[in-house]
Amino acid sequence: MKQKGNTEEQTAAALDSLEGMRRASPPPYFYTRLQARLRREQSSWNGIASLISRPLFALGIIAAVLFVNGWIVLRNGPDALSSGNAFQVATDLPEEYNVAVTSFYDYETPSHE
Amino acid sequence: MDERILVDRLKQGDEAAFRAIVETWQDMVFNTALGIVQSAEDAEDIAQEVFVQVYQSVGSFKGDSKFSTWMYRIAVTKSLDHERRKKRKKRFAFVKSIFGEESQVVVHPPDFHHPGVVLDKKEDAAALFKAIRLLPDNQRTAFTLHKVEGLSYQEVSEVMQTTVSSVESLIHRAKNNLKKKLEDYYRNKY
Repeated sequence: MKQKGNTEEQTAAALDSLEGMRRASPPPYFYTRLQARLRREQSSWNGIASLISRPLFALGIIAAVLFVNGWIVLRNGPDALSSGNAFQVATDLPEEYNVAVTSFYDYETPSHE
Repeated sequence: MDERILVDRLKQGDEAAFRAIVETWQDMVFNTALGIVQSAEDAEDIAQEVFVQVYQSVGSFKGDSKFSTWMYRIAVTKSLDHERRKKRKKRFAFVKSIFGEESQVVVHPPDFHHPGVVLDKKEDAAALFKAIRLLPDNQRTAFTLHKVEGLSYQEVSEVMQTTVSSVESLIHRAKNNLKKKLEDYYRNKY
């Protein structure tokens, strides 16, 4: 019973403990540190980073890529998607970059005399 | 100097106006953050963030509310965000420790002593602050603004963008919850 009374008293005291409290102040030279931080925040790299990290920027880039993609497809007309054209690309590219399958086997094959 | 003149001058990029704003409201912002995050180091970091945001986005302040109310909102939002980040970090550290990875578990200091509390009430206030940490965000915000910052119900309702009756209800529920938590705390202590 005594403990219960004690608990209630302490709870009431804790609830009233903020009465008459004063405001806390930040440590000295707060403005100096704030200025240093502002200068850091205003540096160009931070500006670029914050711009890139914005969702709106990312969505804008995606929209631009889709737009350019669509524009190229529409400009080339329906032929651009035809299988003939695709075949042309598939054969031209390896030729242009010389990526045809080569084998050393031919060179190493002993000649039959 | 008049609040509106200071804000107008800050909108024009006047550094002296910014300094005057910081000097006028730094205690208010710091004390609000301190009441919520209960760490002087974190509260200073948040106070700096608040003033950086004030500097950068003062152009969006339309003057519909008082400038101090606008700053209270930024301070509360940033403090609660900080608390959520800290909780996430703690959870992540816990999960990492389950999988056996070494990680530094974020631990809150056992007792927080607010520097503005009267000396003979320090121990009781530390127990109260411990219980405040366990309140839901909206109850914690309303209670802290009212008790730690000394705002009236009307002012708290303006900061929280709600009605006075909602604030009354939040603080009433906060007090009931705190009472229960404190009773448990003292019962287990003995």
